[in-house]
Amino acid sequence: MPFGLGFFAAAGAGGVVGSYDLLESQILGSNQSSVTFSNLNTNYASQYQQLQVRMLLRGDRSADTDALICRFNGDTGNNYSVHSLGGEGSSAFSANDFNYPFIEYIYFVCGAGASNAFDPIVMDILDPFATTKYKTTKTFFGSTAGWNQIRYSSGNWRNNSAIATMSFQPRYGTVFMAGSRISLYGLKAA
Amino acid sequence: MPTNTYTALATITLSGTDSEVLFDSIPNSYRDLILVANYTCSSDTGTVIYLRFNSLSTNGSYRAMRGNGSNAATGSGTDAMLVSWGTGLSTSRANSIIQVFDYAQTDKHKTSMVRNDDSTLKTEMITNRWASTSAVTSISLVPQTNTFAAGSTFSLWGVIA
Repeated sequence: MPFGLGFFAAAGAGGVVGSYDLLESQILGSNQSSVTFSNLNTNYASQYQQLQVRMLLRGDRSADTDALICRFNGDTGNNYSVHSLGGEGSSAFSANDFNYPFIEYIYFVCGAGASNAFDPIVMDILDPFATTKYKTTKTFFGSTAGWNQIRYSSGNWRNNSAIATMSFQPRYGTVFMAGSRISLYGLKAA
Repeated sequence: MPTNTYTALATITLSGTDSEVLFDSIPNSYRDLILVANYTCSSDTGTVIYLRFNSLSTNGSYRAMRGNGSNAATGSGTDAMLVSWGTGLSTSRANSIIQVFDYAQTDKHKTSMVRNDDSTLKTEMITNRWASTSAVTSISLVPQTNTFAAGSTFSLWGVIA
């Protein structure tokens, strides 16, 4: 049974700010070595309780995959931990890392992967502006463009500070390719 | 400046069984689409539910992983995209959240990720890729050898970026 959306085509997005809002977005028109969102606690802590980052990435590394470096507040110390669960078509697996210098075990397609392919990553950051708890992430991502896995990862930043900056960069390659996108969304508390 | 997003585009509630649920004429004014399905099937499925863009069944691929309480399984295919991978029961209500990224962009393949949960049987996660740079103008969900039951609901949202 088809359901045509012609009636809704003219509606467009509402103009009133709701509970799930686009805060900032970087849609890369040219290659870029990193993406950083700054002043997050100043700009958004009073209104938003959760953050979500929606990404669609391709890197320049000559292999079929690169890893994503995610850091909070510029912290390069070994203050991050990760657990990951995944499937690659023939076996399920898990991995972990403790006391690491960034949120790791998040991957995306690169040069040796399928042409025109960009890999999706959705990262939720829970209670990012709380000052009484460590910060946790949950990330859902996958690919059939080269590294060919479906994965779910949890991350932890052992720091009670409110998140002021969030930065993303390729681990092994040089840039995110033009056409990549990293968009930040905020969710309000009830 | 914060911008309201997550715009409701359409909801389909089945008054009878249906072998295909199709959202057609999707506007190109959003960046991502999110489709939430809450459904049962009219008989035991034992098979998959396909995800199709623009009513095409070619150029799809997937990686899936499933846990059923006893073991974890993973699978893959290069001939289809999936909403549900594996067995379903007529008495089992399933929920699927399908996210389609950059669906209207013509410079990249179309990727989607699915969380599919059936409290009686399994929890699944799936990643799909449609190897086409064409804009997605329709999305359909098609059980392989079954039909969706009356009362099943399917809702589509547009997300800006």
